[in-house]
Amino acid sequence: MNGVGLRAIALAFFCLWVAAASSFAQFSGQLDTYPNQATVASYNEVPAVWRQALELPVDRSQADVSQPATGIASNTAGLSNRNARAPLLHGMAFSLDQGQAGAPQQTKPASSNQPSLKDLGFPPSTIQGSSKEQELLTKRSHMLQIHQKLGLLTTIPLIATVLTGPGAKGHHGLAGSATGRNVHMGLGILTTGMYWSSAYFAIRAPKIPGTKSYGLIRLHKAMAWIHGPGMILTPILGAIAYSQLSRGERIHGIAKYHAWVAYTTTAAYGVAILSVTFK
Amino acid sequence: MKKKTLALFLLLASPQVLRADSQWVLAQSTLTYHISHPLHDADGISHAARGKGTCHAGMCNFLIAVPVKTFDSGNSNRDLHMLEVVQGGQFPMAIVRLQLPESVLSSATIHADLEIQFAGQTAEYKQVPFQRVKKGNAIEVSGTIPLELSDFKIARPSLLAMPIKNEVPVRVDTFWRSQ
Repeated sequence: MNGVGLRAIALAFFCLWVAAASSFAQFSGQLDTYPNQATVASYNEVPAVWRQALELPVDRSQADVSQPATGIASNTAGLSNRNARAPLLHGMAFSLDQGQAGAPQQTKPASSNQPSLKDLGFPPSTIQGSSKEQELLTKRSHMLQIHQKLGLLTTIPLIATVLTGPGAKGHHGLAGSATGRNVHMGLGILTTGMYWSSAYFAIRAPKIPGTKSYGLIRLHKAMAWIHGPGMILTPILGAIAYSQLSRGERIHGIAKYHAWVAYTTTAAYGVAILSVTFK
Repeated sequence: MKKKTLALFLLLASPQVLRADSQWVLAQSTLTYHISHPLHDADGISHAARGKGTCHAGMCNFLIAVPVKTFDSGNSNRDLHMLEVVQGGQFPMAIVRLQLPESVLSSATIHADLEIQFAGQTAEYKQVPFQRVKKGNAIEVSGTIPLELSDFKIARPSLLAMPIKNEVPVRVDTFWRSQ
């Protein structure tokens, strides 16, 4: 009788050893792997009875078994606190997790053999959708599309203003015609109005928290620091030049730079458009 | 007594018996979408996919998921606009599910039926070919998913009133490890 009992105990120990060894093989396999490593099971989903049977701490913080595996660092960080039976628990918990996968958004109910999103170890904040965030994205996109359309339309009066500039100024020291000046001024006012309307939608478009600008959009934005002030200065200088010419004077003083400021502004504006068009 | 011993054995061994036969974990991945516009082309790349496969009774179920916002096309404005059109705020994950016979996993070419959840829609792509190459104790699986925007009811973004092409192929390069 005692012999049979001893054999049973020996067999039980053998089975435990096999179970632990094979689970440990899985566990160590995770340690030498990669950032894409799927999550370790949720410790709290292991029934308390099992935890007690295994004499493991019931408190998750003590066990530190179920750190989501976001990479090697998180895996190894939790190692120091894990006791020797944690791999066994992990193996058991994993099989439980398959069937208990909760259904966060976009997650299909998983059958016992189907991995779920939860198994992959994404943080809940990554998996969960947010209608607020979507609204913000939609509003931003909508405003930037208006910015784009208005900005492109602005190029028409802008080019026309540049082309009518010589007619307003005249040649060889002679003043241009009043009509030329008025047409140029009218186009300039239209350009300025459209430009600032377009700029409004870019400036007021909501920013998405946590995003940084990269790529050629940075050049597009940098150009605004040139054509923005240019679009303030050009009409002011143009107004001064207009009044000087209207009084029969030659353009003098700061108004002499009206044309150059306008050309610089137009060039920066062109670069801004091209930077988002061809790349 | 033998019965007791057998019962004890079965009790202790049951977790091993019930356990999935084999598991696969996505170790590394590169997913690349390609968009074409009359004025330019662009590629968006993500390395943030995670995946897992479980095989049991000769059948394997795979799940691969990637947060949509992790795709980088080299232009933050384009990436944010992409997020908007694919409803990345509301549906932040692109999810691929597939089921394969375990025997197919050793073939050089794997034809898989993919179920893709993306932008709040689900589409199926039948018999998508993937190449499988064994590299050490990992396998590399690569292929191209012929994704189309219309399959997910995504309005094609446009620039200068010209929309991008409907076809947005997604190149998949993955390394899987068996556990």
